[in-house]
Amino acid sequence: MSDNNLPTLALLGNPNCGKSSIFNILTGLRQKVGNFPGVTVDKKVGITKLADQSVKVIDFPGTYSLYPTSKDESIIINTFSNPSDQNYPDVVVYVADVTKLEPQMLLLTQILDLNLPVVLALNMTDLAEETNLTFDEEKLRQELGIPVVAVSGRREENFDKLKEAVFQVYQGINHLDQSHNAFYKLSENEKHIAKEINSVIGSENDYRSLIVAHHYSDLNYLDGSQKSQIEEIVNKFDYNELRGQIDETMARYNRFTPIVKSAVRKSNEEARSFTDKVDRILTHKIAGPIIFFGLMFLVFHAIFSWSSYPMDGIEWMFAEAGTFLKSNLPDAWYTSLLADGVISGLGGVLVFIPQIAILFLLISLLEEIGYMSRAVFMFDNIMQKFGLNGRSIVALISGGACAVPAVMATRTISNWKERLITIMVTPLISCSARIPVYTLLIAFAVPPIMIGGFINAQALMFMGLYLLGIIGALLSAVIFKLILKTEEHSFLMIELPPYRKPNIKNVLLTVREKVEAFIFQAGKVIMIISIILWFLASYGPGQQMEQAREEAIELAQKRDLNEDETEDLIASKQIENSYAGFFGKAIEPTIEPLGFNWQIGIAIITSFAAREVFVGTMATIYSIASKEDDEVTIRNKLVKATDPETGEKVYTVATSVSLLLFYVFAMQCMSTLAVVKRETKSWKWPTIQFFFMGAMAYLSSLIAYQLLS
Amino acid sequence: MATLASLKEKRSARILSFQDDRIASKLLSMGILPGSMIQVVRKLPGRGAIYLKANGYGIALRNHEAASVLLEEQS
Ligand SMILES: Nc1nc2c(ncn2[C@@H]2O[C@H](COP(=O)(O)OP(=O)(O)OP(=O)(O)O)[C@@H](O)[C@H]2O)c(=O)[nH]1
Ligand SMILES: [Mg+2]
Repeated sequence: MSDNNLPTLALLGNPNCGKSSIFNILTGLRQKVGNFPGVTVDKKVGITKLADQSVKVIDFPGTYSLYPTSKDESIIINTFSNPSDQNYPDVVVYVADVTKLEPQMLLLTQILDLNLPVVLALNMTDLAEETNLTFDEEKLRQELGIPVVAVSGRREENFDKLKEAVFQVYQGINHLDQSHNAFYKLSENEKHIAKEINSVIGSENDYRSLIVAHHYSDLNYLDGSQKSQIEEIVNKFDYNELRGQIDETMARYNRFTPIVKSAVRKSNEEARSFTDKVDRILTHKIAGPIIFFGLMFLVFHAIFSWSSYPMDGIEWMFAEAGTFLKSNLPDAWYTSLLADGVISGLGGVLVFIPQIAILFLLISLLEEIGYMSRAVFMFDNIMQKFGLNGRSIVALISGGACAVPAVMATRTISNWKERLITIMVTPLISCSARIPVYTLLIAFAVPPIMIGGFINAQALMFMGLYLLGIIGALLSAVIFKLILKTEEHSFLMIELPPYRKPNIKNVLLTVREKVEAFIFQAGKVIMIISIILWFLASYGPGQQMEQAREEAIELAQKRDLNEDETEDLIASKQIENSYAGFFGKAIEPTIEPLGFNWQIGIAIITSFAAREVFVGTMATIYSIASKEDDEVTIRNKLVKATDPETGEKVYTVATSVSLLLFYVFAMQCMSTLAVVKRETKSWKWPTIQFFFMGAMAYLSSLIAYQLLS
Repeated sequence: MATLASLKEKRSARILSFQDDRIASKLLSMGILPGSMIQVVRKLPGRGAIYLKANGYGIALRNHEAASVLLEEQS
């Protein structure tokens, strides 16, 4: 459905006031929510129904005023100062956190002065109740002249009322015409400026023109000649922008402070007392960082140790399914396709759902509580030494789940160099897609022993790989810092929101959504690749497959092999001569110094679609290559994998470590490259990223293999 | 001249003026104006970031950012 002709409802408000929560309730969509200023960095569109009218709902990034200081916020100024913008709203729902209403009136009165139809939604009324804060909606309604609805995004309360109020405003009822009674009265000088800009941009609203006078250089809808005309006007009247902003802000406060005082009872300070107590510990000079690393350790520990039973269960299920298919379907090509291609490919990957669910559960809990901005505060100083910003830590932590949203989260970093470096190094942080590869291969690199009786050696290796990713990210950040030059100033300046009880429903929904995305997206890719692979591995060019078969039988007779061994030999000779074998062999010379054979070569090629495909690919190749009736798990298949010529095991410690290192560093994710291209607006940076990560991967694997073998 | 960077932990003072436009703009947006009270909640060692409270907001500023905020002399 095209939503371009529908009326537009904009959700606007300060960061972290609950816009996305309300968006989700109105549209039924699942926009990301979290207790951190700047969770939403791009506008997001959905549809809702008001009475019988469908309307387009836009969730905007949060901003404190119409004087934005970062890129995500400047989206707003481009839309709201341009009535011909395709997202310019027909009606605004101004969301305000009722527990700190006063400062949020600034943006509200600015929007009202733009003469937009507004409904004020007082959110977080459940918190107000808990803290005995009382407010008088009627009073606000009278003083502001706009409809006011108290809602709770957490309890999903009063949304019918909100919709009704919005619908009325949309129909032109209750619309406060602000043109003659603006909250901010422009100074004489500002009036002159506004009048002249009015004629340049064809505006009738003085306040809009004043905003344009402030931001014209960032406004995309103005052409070059308009910008230079406005520049002339601003210079002619000798307009001091900061002075103007101070005067406007103070004038507005003078107007609305009495209104808020009369309508809300409770000081802002008291509301933070709980947060202050917690912060005495969590941001403590010494205890703070210790707690942070303790938490991170806990996350990794949980990923590894909580997941073993559910993983065994899933593995068993897929093995049973494969056996069932093989024993109940005729021995035909499609049975092989299903059992060897699809089922084993899928099973090899879906087994990692428990680990991915745990990772997302813990990271979204940290976000919901409000801990992320504390980490930003504590590590800003260290991050700067690496050319990063405190905010980079949010990208780096969420990069542990997936690099795609992490790269988008960098929009809150206003300094281009710091943002670019964060984007470049975030994919080095081990994401959830690497978990399958790590878990599978660690078993070959490290024995399952307990060090000192209680530390699981494999878990330690797992953590070591994550650590390696982090070190790799920080070191490359330093190198980028030395290479890239910028004159731009860098800022920290971040709000530390009050701690909140996590919304468990939100957290669980996030986990479910991520797991579903993993199943469907990864599942789709794996399905397609499994089928292609199955084909490539089962058929070969010309008569080669037949010849390989005959040669294998001859060889088997010469060696006096039994029936099973003969079958295996035939299968492996055949796959070697298949199309897949052909591709793998083509890159074998390049990867041989790393200890990889052509089977691994195939898996590396397919991994460029997405890393988790590695496991599925291995499963498919080895299922086809062994003609046993019993479906065994992929782990067992790899254990048995031997080089048919020499009879040596393929997965030695050296090969496994080398392969692990390759997956730690290599850029094998098309989605990440695509999002980096989008965020940096050029192919230059994803290309550089691909090659520098590739070089790191190749060199570290080479060194490791040569040392270990 | 007293700046916010020189204010001790747990102490409060009144803002006199701003010297950096970007910092000023952001603080103004949060309703933190000349004349507002501002409190230092925590200072990290090694000229690290400073955790401040004003107008009901918790805010983190870098040391040099805080140095651009001038304070009224305490009486
Ligand atoms: N107690 C309570 N918490 C709420 C309510 N609405 C939202 N929250 C929480 O407030 C936090 C911020 O909510 P979001 O919906 O992400 O806020 P936002 O305005 O979209 O934030 P940005 O995108 O960062 O600007 C989350 O932790 C929510 O769970 C509410 O009515 N009551
Ligand atoms: Mg949001």
